[in-house]
Amino acid sequence: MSPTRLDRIERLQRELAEARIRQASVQARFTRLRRAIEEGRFVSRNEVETDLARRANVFRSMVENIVYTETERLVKLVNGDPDRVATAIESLMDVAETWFDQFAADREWSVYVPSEPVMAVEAARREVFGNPNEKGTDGR
Amino acid sequence: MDVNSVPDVFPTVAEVLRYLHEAGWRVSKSAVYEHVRTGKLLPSKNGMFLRRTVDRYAQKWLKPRNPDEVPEQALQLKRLRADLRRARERAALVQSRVERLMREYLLREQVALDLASHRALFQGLLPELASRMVEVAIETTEGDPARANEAKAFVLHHLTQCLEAYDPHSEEEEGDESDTPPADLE
Repeated sequence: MSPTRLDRIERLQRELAEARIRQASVQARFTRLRRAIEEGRFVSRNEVETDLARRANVFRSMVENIVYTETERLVKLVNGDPDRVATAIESLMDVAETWFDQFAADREWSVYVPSEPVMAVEAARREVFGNPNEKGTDGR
Repeated sequence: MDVNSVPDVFPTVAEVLRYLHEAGWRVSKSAVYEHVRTGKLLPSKNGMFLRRTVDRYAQKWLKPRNPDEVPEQALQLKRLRADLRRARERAALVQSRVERLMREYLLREQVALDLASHRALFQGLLPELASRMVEVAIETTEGDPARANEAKAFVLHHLTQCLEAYDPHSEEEEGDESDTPPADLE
């Protein structure tokens, strides 16, 4: 039996009520997010990526600098031939380069981090977005 | 007739009749009384007529006054569909704005966690780098492999200092022994 016009009205009214709840939920999430950004609880992703790249460059430069300045002492420490310091520097630079290059590859790393910062992220997300199970929220 | 102003109940047959006429149904006053008497249109227990009951009665027993005229329910359906479409479009629009902001911004706590993770990753792999460097230094200068451990401590100490430049804020938290160079090297 096909639905009557009244059945269709009732179904549409239900769907409309659900759509309005969803709309209100998404709007609330948007408002909370905007407010949190204005309050400085968020950082621009571009800014973060630039900062991470800068840090990585500084780290790399410092390691390369160590190779140049400390290889002579290192060779002395292992009782190596002091005339081969220049060759050692060249080889150590290659070692450092290979070591850094592994992070440029698209690869997943497993790393242990203390639970405190992980919990801080979860708490901050809950504070900004509310309950993660709430309809219309995502749990990045 | 504005659909939003239609009452849910009609206290009298006269009001039922008025509603039916405004909604576009063809029916006379005597016919409605007759239908009430014969049970085609039944009032609720309190003697009033529920709009829902009246609508069902009209659907089942009456004909539109003008087949070309849009009846009230069709109008209501049309409005409901439009409202539903608007509500869904609005929710989708706001959702896309939320997603854009989520792509463009990161929680400060998340940034701190990412930084700590990167540092932990580098720190975990530094001993491997130090070992490899010592190995290569011994190979290229024909050094003494028996001095490898001491040399590794020396290299690791310097590498760890480099790492402090990557994430200076963690210096105090870490406080590991690498902060102090091996005594025999000073």
